[in-house]
Amino acid sequence: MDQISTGAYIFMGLGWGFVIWMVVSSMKKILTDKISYEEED
Amino acid sequence: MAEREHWNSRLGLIFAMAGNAVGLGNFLRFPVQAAQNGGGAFMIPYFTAFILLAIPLMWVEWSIGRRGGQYGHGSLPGMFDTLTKSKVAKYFGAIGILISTLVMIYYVYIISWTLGFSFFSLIGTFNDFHTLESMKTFLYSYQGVGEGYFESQWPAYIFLLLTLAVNFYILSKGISGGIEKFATIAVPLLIGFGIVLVAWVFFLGAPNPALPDFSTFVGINYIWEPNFELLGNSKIWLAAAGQVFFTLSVGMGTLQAYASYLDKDDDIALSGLATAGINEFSEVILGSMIAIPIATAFFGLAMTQTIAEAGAFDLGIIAMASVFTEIPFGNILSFIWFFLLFIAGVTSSVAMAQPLISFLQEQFRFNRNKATVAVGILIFIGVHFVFLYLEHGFLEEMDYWAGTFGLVIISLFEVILFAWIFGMDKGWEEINRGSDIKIPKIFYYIIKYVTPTYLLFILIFWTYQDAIPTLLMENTKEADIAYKWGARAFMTAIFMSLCGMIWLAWKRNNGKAYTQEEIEGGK
Repeated sequence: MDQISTGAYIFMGLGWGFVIWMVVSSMKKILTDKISYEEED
Repeated sequence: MAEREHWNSRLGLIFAMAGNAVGLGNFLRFPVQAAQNGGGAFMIPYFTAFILLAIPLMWVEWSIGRRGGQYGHGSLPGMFDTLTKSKVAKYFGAIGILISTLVMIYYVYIISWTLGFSFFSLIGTFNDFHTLESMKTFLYSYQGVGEGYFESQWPAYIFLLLTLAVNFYILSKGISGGIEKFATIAVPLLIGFGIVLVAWVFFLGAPNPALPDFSTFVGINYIWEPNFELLGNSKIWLAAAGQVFFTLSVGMGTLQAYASYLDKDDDIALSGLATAGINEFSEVILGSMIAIPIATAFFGLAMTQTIAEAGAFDLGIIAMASVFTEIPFGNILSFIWFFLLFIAGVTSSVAMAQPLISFLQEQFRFNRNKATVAVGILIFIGVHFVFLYLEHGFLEEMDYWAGTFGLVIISLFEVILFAWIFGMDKGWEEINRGSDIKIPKIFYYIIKYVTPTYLLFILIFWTYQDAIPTLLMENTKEADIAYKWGARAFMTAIFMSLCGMIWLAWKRNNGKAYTQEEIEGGK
């Protein structure tokens, strides 16, 4: 693990963080909403 | 009265859309691009392009698709026609169907390699091919472009037929019964396989204690170590825009085709973001953590860079298959890797057939089975050219014009059509209708001004850098010229046929789509 530089850790953290935030925040809302389109009719 | 097909669940739609976007490029192209273009610093132009180019284009495509679906259209000619009074727009739509169909023709052949290698992994066919050179001869003999383990192309042909069968079986079952059901299983499975491999990368570290620099962590560092000096180079920004552009499958007519099966007031803003998020998870997290780190642990960083520069298949197929012959449980891990690529490929390829299937259904009253068979026959015939003339660059030629250049043409046309001809005020209302989130108003201006400018810049640069030399066949071997002309003739013939069909359909009833009831009545 010490073969990964601080800069690499920072950018990996930022990249991963942004992606995980995007997935979690969007999916959280969708999964707590109505799932079936048919149910909405 | 019979209704047009529709998605059964929102989650199913998101998985289908994500499956469409997640493909081989996420696992093979992204890590190579990132490593070669500034490492961690590549994320700056990458996410900039993601926000200014990919997300706006994705919302535009979902909107065009959902709107087209209200008029019964599942393909671009009809969708474009409803956005303008111009009689030319529908012929641009023909380019959209052309692109997805052509890309499917060569893409199914590529993903059939991954199915073949999944099978060979399980039965240990290439267990004795430890070196890169020997694995290269194994792959080339399988593809019929060199001599080696395979004496004929029959094994490759059988896996190609199986891949086609899987694709068209799924397509024959329809939107919710086929594509949605498959994606609901395939996308979580794909992510699960990816997570297993990433966990193994962390566990693996440096497999040979005598060579501490031959380590997965050195590979991870290679991808993520930021090199800020490169940010001043415009090529990095274009490389990032290109990667972002390919990764979300925009410009192919597939997002629009899937979105056409939504209802008028179904949300697209949040669903689109969720889809993009899953794609980015597969690319930025899984894609960056598998092929390059594993190759670095076994070949060292310098050799891995050479392999990556040689191409995505050298890294993803030759190097990875070779590594898996060296390790405990290699057969299982190898199967997981190649089957992951196969699943990622099929979830994308089924989407590529959908625009033409919809077009035949809605303009020529083919029922689902008849349309699937017709498209299947076309793909079956076309893939034989790719299969037989692979070494002469038939696939390369199609990939450049359809899978690279054509995507920018369609994207630029549709964003101008949507924001400037249809009108951004109406377009903005269209994107926001039924939305579960409030899209920041700044995207109104991004879609209207920034995205078209960005695309125009990419188009001009690519035309100057690649399209003109490719058109003039500079650096093409003498022996391949006839085959490349053959590929161009083949693409032109399909395009002209599509234009003829559009002309016929519009002459007959002004392009009005047949209703589901009329389609089911059949011819």
